Amino acid sequence: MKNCKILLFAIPICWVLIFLFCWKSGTVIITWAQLKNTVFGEAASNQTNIILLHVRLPRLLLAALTGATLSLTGAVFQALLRNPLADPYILGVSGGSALGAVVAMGFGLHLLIIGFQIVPIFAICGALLTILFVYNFSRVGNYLPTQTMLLAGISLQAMLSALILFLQTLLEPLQLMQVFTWLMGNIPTPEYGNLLWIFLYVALAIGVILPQARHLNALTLGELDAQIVGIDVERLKKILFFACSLLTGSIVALTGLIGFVGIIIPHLLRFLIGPDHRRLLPACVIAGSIFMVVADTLARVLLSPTEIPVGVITALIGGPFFLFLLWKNKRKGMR
Amino acid sequence: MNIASFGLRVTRNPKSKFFSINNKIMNQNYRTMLFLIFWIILTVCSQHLQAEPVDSGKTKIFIDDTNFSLHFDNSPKRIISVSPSATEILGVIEADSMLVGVSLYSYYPPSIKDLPKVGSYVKPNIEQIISLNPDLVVMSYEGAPRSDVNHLRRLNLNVAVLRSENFSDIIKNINWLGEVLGHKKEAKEAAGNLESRYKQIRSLVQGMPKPRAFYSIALNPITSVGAKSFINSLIYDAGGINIAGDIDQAYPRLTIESVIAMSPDVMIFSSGMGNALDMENQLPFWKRWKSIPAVRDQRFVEVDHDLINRSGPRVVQALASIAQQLHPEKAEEIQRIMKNEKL
Repeated sequence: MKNCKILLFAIPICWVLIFLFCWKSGTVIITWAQLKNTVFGEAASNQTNIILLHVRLPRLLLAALTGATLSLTGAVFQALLRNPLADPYILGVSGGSALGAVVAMGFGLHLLIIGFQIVPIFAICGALLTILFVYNFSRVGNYLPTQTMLLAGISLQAMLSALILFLQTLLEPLQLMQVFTWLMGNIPTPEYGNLLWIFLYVALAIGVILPQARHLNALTLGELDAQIVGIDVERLKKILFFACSLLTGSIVALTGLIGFVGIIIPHLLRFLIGPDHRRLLPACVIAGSIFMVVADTLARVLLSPTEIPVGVITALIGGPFFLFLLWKNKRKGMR
Repeated sequence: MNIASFGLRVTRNPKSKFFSINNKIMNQNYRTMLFLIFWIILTVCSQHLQAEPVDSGKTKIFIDDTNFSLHFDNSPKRIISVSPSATEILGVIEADSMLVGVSLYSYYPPSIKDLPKVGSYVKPNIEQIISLNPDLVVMSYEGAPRSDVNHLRRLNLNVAVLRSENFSDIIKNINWLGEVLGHKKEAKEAAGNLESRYKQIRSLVQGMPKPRAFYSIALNPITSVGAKSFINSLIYDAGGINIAGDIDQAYPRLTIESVIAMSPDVMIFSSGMGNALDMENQLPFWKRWKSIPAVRDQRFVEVDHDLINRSGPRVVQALASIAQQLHPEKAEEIQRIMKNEKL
């Protein structure tokens, strides 16, 4: 009990501290005093204000939303499919939205409007079409066999990435470079208007997903067992698949393909706090968001003034760390 | 695969029971906490969101290639150029001393060597641009991401986006920047200078028999320049025919078969790009195909990539360089044209 209460306060404080530190770091050197002045609206130089509030902050917030979304959807997909490797990529959802976005970018549609608006629409459509296809393809009557869905998702993902590669050969080098860097994963700097919209969207989806945690717990025992406990498994699957696809689609449209977050954060947290989804899902939101904030800050700072794609960072940190955890767990099992 | 080994299954151990008493409260608290954190951060920033008012007086207005109007009360004194082409233009109109930052890979004029770099022209570093406090940021129409352009404009920075797709664009940009920066006289002189030399060289070689040229940018895949590229018109004006010139792309990728079939008389390479793209690195590959006339006769043309790939004022030098090598008999005259006037 005591432990629990301490954590309840310690975690948000840690979150805020890390966030502040990442806020402070960047190409331009900013002191803690300047940061304090800006936060409390005191007389800070206009330039620092702009850099902190209009360049770094929206990007950090978007990074946090991205991390939260990716790790949460990863955890949900893993529970739904009862497969430790499942995440939006395996199901083809990311591929679908990436294809939608590449189509929009490749045909110069992003030049028509501010570059922010039309790509997401295509990406969300891509994600939705993919999940609709995978879902209807693998459905037998009202029942959804998990294995078929996984396999359909994997083969669709392969087809989709081939299509993306095909489109890339049609593009001009400059466009190709933009699409390529986008595919590697980058956190853009959104407008506050857009950010608020994304935030509401993510919050809504999280609001739909989190209350299902109890049902997800039951689902880990197997679909039959879950049904016996009185859960409408098929309805649960439908709700969660569509909520997660929408969420992934909208985020992928903005950031491109950022790998590993959806696998590493849920697994790491399972090692730390156990597999109970009532704790795991909120923890994923918190840990995922701060992980992404740190990764994006590294992406901004390491090679400044240029940037590293954040997808590279997440894979380079995430991969070895994940292997280490697996190795440790294996040794524990041996003993 | 054993799912339990990955810790996916919910197991009943005493610890989790211990937690579960408190779970509902925890869940709710976390959600509220999260919401509160975001809400606080969002409110903090919303206080600073109001845009500064712009007062109009004797404001000068200029329109750039994105149809955006830039307003200046005084002519700008601190300039950042996120486009190598614009950087070179500023050098030509003697305004390079106003530069406070340039993009990576900008090497000309030499005076900019020690200036801070603000990212590449396709991935500018917004933070650093703002920290240098510029009056004018010049970006490239072809390269700059629109989201970055819009971002800087939202922050009340004067961002000019300039297109430089052909020679007349370059002349237009020289005059435009000269007008904005109050260097009208220098700009007019430089533009006239470049234009007259360009035209002289072009008319000098126009009557000559035109060799069929193949510009080889890269090998894997073989990449050349098509109708949409600026280099295409440069080859034409230098008295050659670009054999990939009827392909409606900027940088078409070709197969070796099609290059052999088109049998170019001359091959053009750019040098100074480093690694696989230089002439000396490409030649071993091309020398395997003796049936290509250019290879058989060893007619290889080399142009400094800094001159040809920048689409800046120095393309006149690139034109001279190609024209001389395509038409060696006119080389002396071309050199005389280039020496006649300064620059």
